[in-house]
Amino acid sequence: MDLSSTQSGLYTIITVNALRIDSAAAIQFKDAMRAATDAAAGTVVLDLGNVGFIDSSGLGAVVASMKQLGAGQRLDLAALTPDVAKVFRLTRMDEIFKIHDSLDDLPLAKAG
Amino acid sequence: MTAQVGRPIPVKARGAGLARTSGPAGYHAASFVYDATEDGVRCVLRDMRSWLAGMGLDEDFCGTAEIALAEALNNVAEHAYPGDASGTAQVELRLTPEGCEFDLTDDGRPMPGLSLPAGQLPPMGGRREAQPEGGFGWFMIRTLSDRLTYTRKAGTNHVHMRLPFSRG
Repeated sequence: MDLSSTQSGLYTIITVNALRIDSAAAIQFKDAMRAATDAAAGTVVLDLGNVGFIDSSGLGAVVASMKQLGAGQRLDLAALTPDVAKVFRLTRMDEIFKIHDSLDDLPLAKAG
Repeated sequence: MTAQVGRPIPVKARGAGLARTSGPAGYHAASFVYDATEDGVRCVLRDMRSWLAGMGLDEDFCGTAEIALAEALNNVAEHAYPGDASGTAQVELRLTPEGCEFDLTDDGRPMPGLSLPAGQLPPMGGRREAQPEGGFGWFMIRTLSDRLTYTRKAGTNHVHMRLPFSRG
């Protein structure tokens, strides 16, 4: 699973460079997230703008990634595409995560 | 893992175009045979979605269909053919004025208890450690469908699911 990580103000933005987080990709996603968030501090924002589809396995892997974070860290989501947003809404996991419409919405991300 | 979706499936898949036949009541129908594996599921989801889009159904309905069918087919791949067990399975679709009817059949292991899981949303605790990581699949299927049955007959699992065009 190809993830890219960028630092923007107080946020670590992790962009998923894949079209799907599904049953076939869930474990790779979780492992890649563990590696990508290992050294991250503060709030991690998962940029799902490239991801067109997620299933319940992928959803579970996103939740697992949140649990992997350190005590002082938070996992937010950003740029959900329509089908991905639908899965979070249906399962009410949109109440668990803070979801940003786009990366431009991050309050401090545009500083500088 | 990008771009792995297009791996050729080793079984014949009859999809858009070829399968555009008329069902018993004269409605459009399609039939897909697929490998009951993670990759096979990806392939049949892609083919099914392009067939539905080709039938003029909007992105919202196509997305709903892919979400519901993904959960049902993942269940077949994981539970009917667990571990190294393999097999082919079939999806038949039929469009009616009310919605899309899906008939999923496979010759794998039966559903535990010969019934479909209740599909209740797992409890969400307040603490991060308590958040559920699974149990969402059948809840989504039950939420999105207005008809759902399971039968086991002569060694074959048969799930029938209808997704209505208008919900709520």
